[in-house]
Amino acid sequence: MTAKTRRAFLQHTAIATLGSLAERVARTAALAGAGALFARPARAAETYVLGVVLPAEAAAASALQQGAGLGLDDANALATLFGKMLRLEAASASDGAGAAREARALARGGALGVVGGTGAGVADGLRDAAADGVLVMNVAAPDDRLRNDRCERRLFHVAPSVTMLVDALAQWVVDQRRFTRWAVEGDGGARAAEIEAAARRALARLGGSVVESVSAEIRLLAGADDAVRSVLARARGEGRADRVAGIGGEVPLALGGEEAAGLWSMGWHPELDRFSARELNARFRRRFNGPMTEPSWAAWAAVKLVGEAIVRGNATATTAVIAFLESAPPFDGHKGSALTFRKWDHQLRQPLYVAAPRKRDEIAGRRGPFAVLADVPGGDLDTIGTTAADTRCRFPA
Amino acid sequence: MAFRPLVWLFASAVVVFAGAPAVALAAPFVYVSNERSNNVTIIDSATDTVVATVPVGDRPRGIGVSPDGRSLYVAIGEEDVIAVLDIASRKIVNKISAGSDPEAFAVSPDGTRLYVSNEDANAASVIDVKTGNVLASIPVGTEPEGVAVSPDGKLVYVTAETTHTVSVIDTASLKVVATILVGSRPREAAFTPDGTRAYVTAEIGGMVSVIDVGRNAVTATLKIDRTAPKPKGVIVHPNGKIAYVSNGGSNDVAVIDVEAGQISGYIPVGRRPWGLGLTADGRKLYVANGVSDNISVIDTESRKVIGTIRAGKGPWGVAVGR
Repeated sequence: MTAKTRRAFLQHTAIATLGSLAERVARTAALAGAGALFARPARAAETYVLGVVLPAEAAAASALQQGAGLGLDDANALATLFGKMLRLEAASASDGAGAAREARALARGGALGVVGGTGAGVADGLRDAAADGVLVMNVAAPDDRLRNDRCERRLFHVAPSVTMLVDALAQWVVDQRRFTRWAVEGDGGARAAEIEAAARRALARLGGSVVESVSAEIRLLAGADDAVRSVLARARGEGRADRVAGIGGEVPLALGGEEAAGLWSMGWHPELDRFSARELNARFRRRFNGPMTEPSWAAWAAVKLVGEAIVRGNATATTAVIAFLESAPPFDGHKGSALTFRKWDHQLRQPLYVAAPRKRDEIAGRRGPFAVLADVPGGDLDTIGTTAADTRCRFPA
Repeated sequence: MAFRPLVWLFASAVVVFAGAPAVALAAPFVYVSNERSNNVTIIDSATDTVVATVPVGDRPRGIGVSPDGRSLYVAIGEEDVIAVLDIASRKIVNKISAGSDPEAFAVSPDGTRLYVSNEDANAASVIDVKTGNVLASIPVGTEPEGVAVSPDGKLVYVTAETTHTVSVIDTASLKVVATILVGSRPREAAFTPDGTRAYVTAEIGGMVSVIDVGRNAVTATLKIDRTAPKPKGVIVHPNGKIAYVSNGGSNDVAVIDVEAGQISGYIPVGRRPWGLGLTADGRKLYVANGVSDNISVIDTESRKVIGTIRAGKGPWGVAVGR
């Protein structure tokens, strides 16, 4: 991040903070009959700092900083009522080494932890910082290895894992479409290998299996984005748009109405309505004039979680924030369930969503090319994701 | 909520009946807002049958009866108004502007004011019933929801879902005098008849916070011992000994023993129970089941469901006439 960008981000979040804070301080001042408080809001509060590690790529950085900005609004709406305040400090990194370096610097500077995970290698770099004692809230990287062989006690995953996304997709597709024979079309990379492993595990539990493409009822796309778009276009052209599927919201939500195809699982959708998701999406849209995406939601949630640690957990240091998060406080992510971190890998339990293309004539205004069909699972949240019995993560006692 | 002597209630009903012969009024009527069919179902509590269905506006949710028993108020979220239904004629006679997206409200015990939560605006509006003027818009927590007035009318509690708080408003100064941290996603609040305690449901927290009103402090937390219970509605029996909580996730009503400070049982009802309404004598509890599109009628003595009444689509709130 350039100095200019960094200043802009800080100014952006500070303006938002002061806006909501001013309103609350005005109220406090009126109650106390002490108008002088209005002029010095920051000094009235215990202030805590949370770091945000932004990627170099502008759109991804924007999604993260906007989510964090709304999270800061909400965190301070609560914290300032109790004489406390959270502030964000931003840094930028274009690779893993840079992310680790920035995260350590933020922590040395007094940040309770850092939020990040977007960008090539960034999540691995942040994981290394976590191994050195930095609290990291992963808001974008779904990699299963970060929750298994490379897990860390100080690394908490707000973003859903590959296994969760595949489990949710498989549960819905097998239950609703009865497709049990799946082909996994990858590119030989590490992500594709994780997706295939997750698909084999999920389908084995649901009475299905991974088969060759020629005999598959549905193809799970696990390649690079360009390859996925190419397959989607072909499937659409062949009238088989519902015979392909994928995980994550980034690809489908970037498609135009003419391009929409496939069944997708994702962690958030800007048109979610139930459980006050409508209010959260509306607040985000009012504030940033754009849709709340998956990483925006996760960044919002991460910052709000830390804010709740400060107020509910009276946390004043990193160890206390970690203790609060590990105590499984029921977090309201506007998903209709109490979201808590799993003890065995620090993954946030949460419902996910399955979306499918809308008919062309149903796309209008804010009704985009994809509509949410269901939230999954309907019941026990531990039916998606790695279980305590399956995990390879071992935290030190 | 203020509870009036039964004799007064009967007298009131007779007067209303005499002035409006077109509608036969007898036993207290129960009013249910139907969020998705945009109407109110009217039930005769003597027979537990539906006697009328009245269209009220787009997305009715919060619902309440005036202390004199003559008016029914319904929050119409999509129209930013509180609709006023004349109980005698069963006609909408007024729509009062109520700020942005009114969802829930409470009527002052003297009937002169409505206190309304405005979810989009993070504020509570105070409305003069007679003039329709907004007397104040008071900033509260983020995404305000439930509103309750103390029996003496001096305090208003407004829950806020995103900040997990209860804002305590002094009705004389119209200022927030305290903010109380409660469970995650607080939905509704209810005072005991003597005004010393209040109960606040927390939907995501799966609990009920018990507040000492005099101290503005949570003195106990009652965990709802069900899987994902999602407690929403809460109401206190006129005798002050029992409180009821509707659990939208576990499809039952929790019975709280006020003195013992514990949950003494659960009564299974329909799917996604939210709104609760008690008859003035406390003998019947009406529960709006939002997904089953019906109302469960509970006999509070036996703690059993004694009837199920078809409502409109998405029954949300319940109010019982005087």
